[in-house]
Amino acid sequence: MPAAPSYRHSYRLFALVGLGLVVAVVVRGLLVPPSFGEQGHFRAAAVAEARAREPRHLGKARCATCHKKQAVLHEKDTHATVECENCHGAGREHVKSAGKVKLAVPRGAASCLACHQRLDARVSSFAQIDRAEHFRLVGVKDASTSCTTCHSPHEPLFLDRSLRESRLHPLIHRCRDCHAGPARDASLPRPANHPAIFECGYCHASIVKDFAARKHHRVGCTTCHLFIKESDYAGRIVRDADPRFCLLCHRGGSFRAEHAPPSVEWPKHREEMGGEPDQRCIDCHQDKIHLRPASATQPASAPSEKQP
Amino acid sequence: MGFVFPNEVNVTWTVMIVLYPYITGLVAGAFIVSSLFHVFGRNELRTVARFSLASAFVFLLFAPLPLLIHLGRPERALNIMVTPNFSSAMAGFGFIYSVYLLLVILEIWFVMRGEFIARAKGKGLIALLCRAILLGNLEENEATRAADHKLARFLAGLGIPLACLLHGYVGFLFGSLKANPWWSTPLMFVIFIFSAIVSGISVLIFHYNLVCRLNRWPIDQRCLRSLGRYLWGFMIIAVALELLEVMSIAYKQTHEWEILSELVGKRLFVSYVVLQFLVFSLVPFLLLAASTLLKLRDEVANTLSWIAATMLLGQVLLMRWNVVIGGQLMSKSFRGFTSYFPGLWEKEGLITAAVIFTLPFIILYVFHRIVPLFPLAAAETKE
Repeated sequence: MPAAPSYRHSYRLFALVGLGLVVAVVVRGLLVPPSFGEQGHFRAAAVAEARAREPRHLGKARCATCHKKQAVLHEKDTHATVECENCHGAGREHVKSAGKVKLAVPRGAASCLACHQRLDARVSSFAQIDRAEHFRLVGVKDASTSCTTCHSPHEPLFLDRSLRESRLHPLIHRCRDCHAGPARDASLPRPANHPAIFECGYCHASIVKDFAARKHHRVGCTTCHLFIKESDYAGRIVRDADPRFCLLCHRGGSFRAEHAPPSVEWPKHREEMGGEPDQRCIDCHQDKIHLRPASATQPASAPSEKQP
Repeated sequence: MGFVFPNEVNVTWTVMIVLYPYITGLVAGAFIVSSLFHVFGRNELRTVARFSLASAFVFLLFAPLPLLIHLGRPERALNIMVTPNFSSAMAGFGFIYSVYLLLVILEIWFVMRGEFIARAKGKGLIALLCRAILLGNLEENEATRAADHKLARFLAGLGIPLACLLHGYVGFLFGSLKANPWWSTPLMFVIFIFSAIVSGISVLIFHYNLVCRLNRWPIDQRCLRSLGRYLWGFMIIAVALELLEVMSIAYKQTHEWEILSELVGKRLFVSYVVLQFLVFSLVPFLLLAASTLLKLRDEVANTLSWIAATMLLGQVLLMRWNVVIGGQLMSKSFRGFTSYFPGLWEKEGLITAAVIFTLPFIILYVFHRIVPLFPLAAAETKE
């Protein structure tokens, strides 16, 4: 007579599974935080806890208490509105350990391009580049060249006066801010509610006309006279005449291609020409730019000796 | 690049999210093959029935790993089961995955109980482990085996809808994202299920061929030819569905087609049109057709199906890549594209992906050392 099947092992197994399910339900009950669901699908106590937590980011005023030199440069230049911790990471542990815990110092292009990669979706007044195109323009042959080779992140454009002390200027609306393609016939009628257009030449006609015949005529006005929007109506216009600004395009270096703009070694060039320590490129090369406007004077605070 | 919003420049669902549906698909496919034997009585698949069940198990163990590596705080992963938020598409995964894992473990327990008992009767650590797995009960006779087989058959039957649900669910994660025209189609669930079956059968053919050649075991010709026929049939359906989906959008010429045509015709031209369809679908289709329809020598037919299975493993991986990465390349503005290729040594890079994909094979080997997955082949060789 054949042996009867044994189900003992099956009972054990299913009892184990049942026990597992019961344990799972009990453990789940224990794991659900007490205040969960009180105000929605989250732990209500988490709000108070988050509020009581010590902030990890301390703000640039705290950084400035130790890093005075960088803070002065940073406040003066175009990154004035950028928090130090945006690039260097949260500073709490660094401060607590009195500098023993080091902060990140981003190298390479990726961290700069997070904000400055050219995107059609970014507002056109924001500084942005296509890396390959930018390198072609300034004659960089080594594609791995870091942004910081030319631009100091604390003082990226070497403005010759503080951003906040710069002149207020009406908002510049250019045709190409909204319209793609070649410039349209300016005589065409505009819609009644069309915003006002300010091309530089409307107010600065003589300078723009003169500029068109000089060496730098391919460079846009706002490349040097940086415009930084402050409201819907106005912004700051900054004149760049610091030698290091000119050197962004004209500095010699092994990473420069042959077709790069004419380059010099600085301050060797100034010394060879017998220039004073505070001598600026523009003092000798004004003719390469445009007529000297009547109002142009030395910057309010004459720049100290700056090394590129 | 065109008009890309700043938060779309970096692709956030990386190659890890490509690997997740890929490994899940291998589970579902391998399970379906084991069910063809256990439920539908396809006796010619007896040789690979255990192997396919064990494969489903080991791939299932590693299916969530890419997701955990992708997460910034993986230790919080279980929260989706402790406090599930059912308005989130991901909430169901933990439950479906757990139920399916439990079912596969139970089925393996009943199917391989005899082998575990044989090992448990020996001495040493493995015998001790086997006794623990068997919960201390080593009773066995013909009637008990028959009863176990019935239970295993019931579990396998229950597993088929669960396997479809698990992988259909992965398709649902993408298909339900209505903002993305490359993903948002109800056909996505079905495509994922069929491509899962294709990848599952492919990995079995690939692995069975490899194991037999390495061990000089005789290949079960009936089994392999049957697997080849199934693979041919399922790949035809899977590829046809993939083509139908894109053809349907192209024919309708809806506003999304303007961006999708550029995605297909330019950005994904190599990986989608050339590799996924022209090389890794058409060539295996012809190879499998030849090995199925022509009277070829066994060795030639085996080699053809082996090559076809290997290529189809690549085809399904390409399909996952083109779906997951392709869908993120285009901007939600429908007017621009970003780009992505994983680094080699990144946390979510190619080396990590390769290691994750290798781990199930290592565990499968360990499994085989405890309980032989090809007892018939090994016995035949000894004879």
